[in-house]
Amino acid sequence: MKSLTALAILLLGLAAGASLADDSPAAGATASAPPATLAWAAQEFKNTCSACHGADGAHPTPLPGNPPPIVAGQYADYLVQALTEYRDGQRQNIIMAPQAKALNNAQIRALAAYISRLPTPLHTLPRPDFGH
Amino acid sequence: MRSRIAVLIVACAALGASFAAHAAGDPAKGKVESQTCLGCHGIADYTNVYPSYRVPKLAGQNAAYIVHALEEYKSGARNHKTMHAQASSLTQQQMEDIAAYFSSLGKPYKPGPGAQP
Ligand code: HEC
Ligand code: HEC
Repeated sequence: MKSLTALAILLLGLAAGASLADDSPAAGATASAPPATLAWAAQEFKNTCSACHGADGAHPTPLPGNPPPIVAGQYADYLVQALTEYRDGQRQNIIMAPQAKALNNAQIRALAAYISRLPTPLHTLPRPDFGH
Repeated sequence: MRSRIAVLIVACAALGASFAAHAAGDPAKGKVESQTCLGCHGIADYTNVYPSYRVPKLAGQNAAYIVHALEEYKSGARNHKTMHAQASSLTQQQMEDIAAYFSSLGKPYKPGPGAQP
């Protein structure tokens, strides 16, 4: 069971990686990285992230063993923190590490800004003592 | 590429069954068991001390991810001192209960332009 899960995760990673490479002739050529605008982030999210987090960031693919979260509407600074930690290895995850590896700081900020603005079911937990 | 995706789909389908068989949590119990969580996750814009970033929104998050995150904090696979302490006091059933409660709280929203039906 464990190994099957690992296999599925591996395959999904490969599929996502391959589609990224197929779509961008300049893959690997970091020198020619496009400017990290919101429009770039929207395209990047569509090309890469949507495979697991859903086209709208709110309908993740239910990967067994390591289910992806809803990211739409999450706080931008938390998203920056998470992506930076995946990239730099403080948060170790075999699925997200390769996703974040290719991103520079400006691209992480742009993705976080884009994702945090997507419509979302997420919000702060209600507190009875706050009159919610 | 195409064949890889086909293999992937088969693999995912094979795993679907075990995923669905996951023990269900009780949201009513989860509401009671998650009182201590509100001190941080129940305050909008509440900030982690160092490094400084806002504590993630949890209401409406999907249950399977919440359980997985808590398991990893508990085991130390995901490294965060405060959350390790929080998760360490929870049993597997309490994690399932809390996840069921949090995920039941999603607010209604209009799907964005990128949304697929
Ligand atoms: C192959 C599937 C896959 C792809 C592609 C993917 N993700 Fe993820 N993502 C995951 C999984 C699984 C997790 C949960 C990992 C964990 O348990 O830490 C995750 C977690 C995250 C988190 C942490 C959220 C939180 O609440 O802590 C962020 C942020 C994120 N992904 C953003 C992205 C972005 C941005 C992209 C595109 C550049 C992307 N992901 C592409 C599967 C994927
Ligand atoms: C002292 C403040 C504090 C308390 C109390 C607290 N948390 Fe957290 N929680 C945090 C912080 C900070 C993070 C982000 C940690 C990180 O970067 O990994 C977090 C992250 C999480 C995450 C991961 C969210 C994601 O998107 O990946 C879950 C799930 C979670 N907490 C559940 C709980 C539960 C359940 C309780 C109560 C039993 C609780 N927390 C109590 C501060 C707190």
